Amino acid sequence: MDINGVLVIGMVLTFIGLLFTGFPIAFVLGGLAMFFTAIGYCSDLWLGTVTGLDYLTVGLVVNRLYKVMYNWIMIALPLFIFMGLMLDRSGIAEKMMKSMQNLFGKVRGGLAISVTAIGILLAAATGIIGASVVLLGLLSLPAMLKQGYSKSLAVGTVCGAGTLGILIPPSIMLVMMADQLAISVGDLFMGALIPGIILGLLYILYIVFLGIVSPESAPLSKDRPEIKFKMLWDVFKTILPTGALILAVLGSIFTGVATPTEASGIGALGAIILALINKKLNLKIFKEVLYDTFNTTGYIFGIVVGATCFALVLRELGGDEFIGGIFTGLPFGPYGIIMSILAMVFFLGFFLDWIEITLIVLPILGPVVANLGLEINGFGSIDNPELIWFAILVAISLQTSFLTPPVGFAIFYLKGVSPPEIKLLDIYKGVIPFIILQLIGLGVVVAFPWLVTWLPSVAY
Amino acid sequence: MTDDSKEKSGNLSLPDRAVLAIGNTAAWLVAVLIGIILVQVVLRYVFAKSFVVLEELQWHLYAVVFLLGLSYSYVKNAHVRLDVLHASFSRATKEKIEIIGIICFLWPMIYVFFMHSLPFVAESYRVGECSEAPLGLPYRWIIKSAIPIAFFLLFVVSASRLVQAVCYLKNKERI
Repeated sequence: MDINGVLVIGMVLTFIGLLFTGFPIAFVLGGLAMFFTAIGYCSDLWLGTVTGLDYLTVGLVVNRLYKVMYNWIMIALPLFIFMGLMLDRSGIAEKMMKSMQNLFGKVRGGLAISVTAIGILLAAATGIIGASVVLLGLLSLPAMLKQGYSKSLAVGTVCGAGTLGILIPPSIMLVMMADQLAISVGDLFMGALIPGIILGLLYILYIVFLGIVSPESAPLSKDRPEIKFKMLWDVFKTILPTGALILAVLGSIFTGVATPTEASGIGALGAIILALINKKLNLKIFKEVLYDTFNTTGYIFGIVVGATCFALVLRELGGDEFIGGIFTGLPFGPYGIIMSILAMVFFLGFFLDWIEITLIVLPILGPVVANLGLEINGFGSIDNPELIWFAILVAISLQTSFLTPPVGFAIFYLKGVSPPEIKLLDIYKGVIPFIILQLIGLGVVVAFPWLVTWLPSVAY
Repeated sequence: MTDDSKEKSGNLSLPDRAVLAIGNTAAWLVAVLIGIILVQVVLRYVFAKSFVVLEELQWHLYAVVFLLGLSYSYVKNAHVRLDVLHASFSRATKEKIEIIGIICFLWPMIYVFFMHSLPFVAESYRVGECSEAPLGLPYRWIIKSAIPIAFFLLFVVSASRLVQAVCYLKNKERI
């Protein structure tokens, strides 16, 4: 192996090692890029190698950063973040919870189903897993425990429903994935819709099933009111504004009326209006949401900056071909290679957020997948159907990874907000059925790629 | 991963407070950005007009927001850390990691960005670079100079953080 290969492996391994120091990942990525540039330069100078790395080459990071600034798609990111944070503060989730709780009081597992349904609705609206899991946990865990739900069902539901947010559009992860793979944001949003709904339905079916075979884990509420038509109307009334907002945002993108950026602006306005209607909006909250948006944008783009440096140096060293070559050379056939990639993504999801994985792994492995020669039916009307399908598979794998013990992010977010009687072990036990459901969902999407590609193909 | 429960929330240093003040002001640019997009949407779909200036202002604002956000998030200690092990380290170990990390990783990165962005901005100023679109915004060097400014601010807050870490370790030795 030549020096470049050694340096590529060295970069990846030191990165993984240094992650555990707990120094900000963004700066580890950026610093390592500089460090390995220095190593490459010295070895060119003294050992006669040809890495081609020097102070001038690494200066290209400024041009790369300027490209990130000059990026029309990514403008949508801070706005979708704002929309999600504003909806969190709008009190809309509490209202939906209350009205659905009444309606589903007579259905076994009804409370858990409500949580899943709200999770799906909010998921569509926020797309930041930390925020959704925390909000759902605070909102529904006390209610479910009070009604005597088994701890594992309660926490599993919250983790599962909360992480759906990264998959169901408009998710900021999908915006970034589309940008990295050079595919259309609209196509990716639409591609994610059916798999997201399938996963949500799987959750609900599981809860209903559990309610039948093990009634004690999902007892009925003691003071359940009779179901009246008015309740149905109440639920409808509380869901309507959020539903309308999501429809407006997604609909305007899907029909091609608005660009994702315009839609994100409309979504931000919609969230402000919803908060206003619920009388939750005042200057203080507005300011806090702005500061939070600024802060969240700052740390997400911190990683973008760091990963830009890391990816530049990795590319200069020929790391793209090197790592791509490893996967292309696997003797498992195209589907085997996809499975290996997904397994790696799943594993990386234990340590890394979706941001690093999207920025570093996807650009390297996207071309590998594109060159596998997979016959994914794009129905003749969408570009790169195999990349859209692959992006959704990566998204589902990542979501599963965030749920998986011992270190899934969702687990720790939830532990942070759950009452003390819930132990880490309860959460571990609770998420296992949902991990299995995720794997079933993943398998279905692998087996039937048209679940992803059909909707974008008929939309325009 | 976004650990806001920073011990030092009480008495912030002057540079930290300055960066927070800049950030809290710049955060309003998000609201301005939303406003501009809405104006543009209305103009396009209601009056069938579009202005290149409005479109370009969008990415200018977005770029300023995320660039200034870099230092703000560092003061707020919001940059993503893998805290599986980090959470169990002693305060002294954490401070030592911060010192080594800032000097060996963060500062080289800041140095490269800062030193290379200066000629980048200067060149843009020298040739009088403006938008490729005929009706676009002039003076590209202004938005480009957001890069050195952002990394200068990041340097300021990291230096402030470094001083705090060193002070903590020194005080601890004395006791």
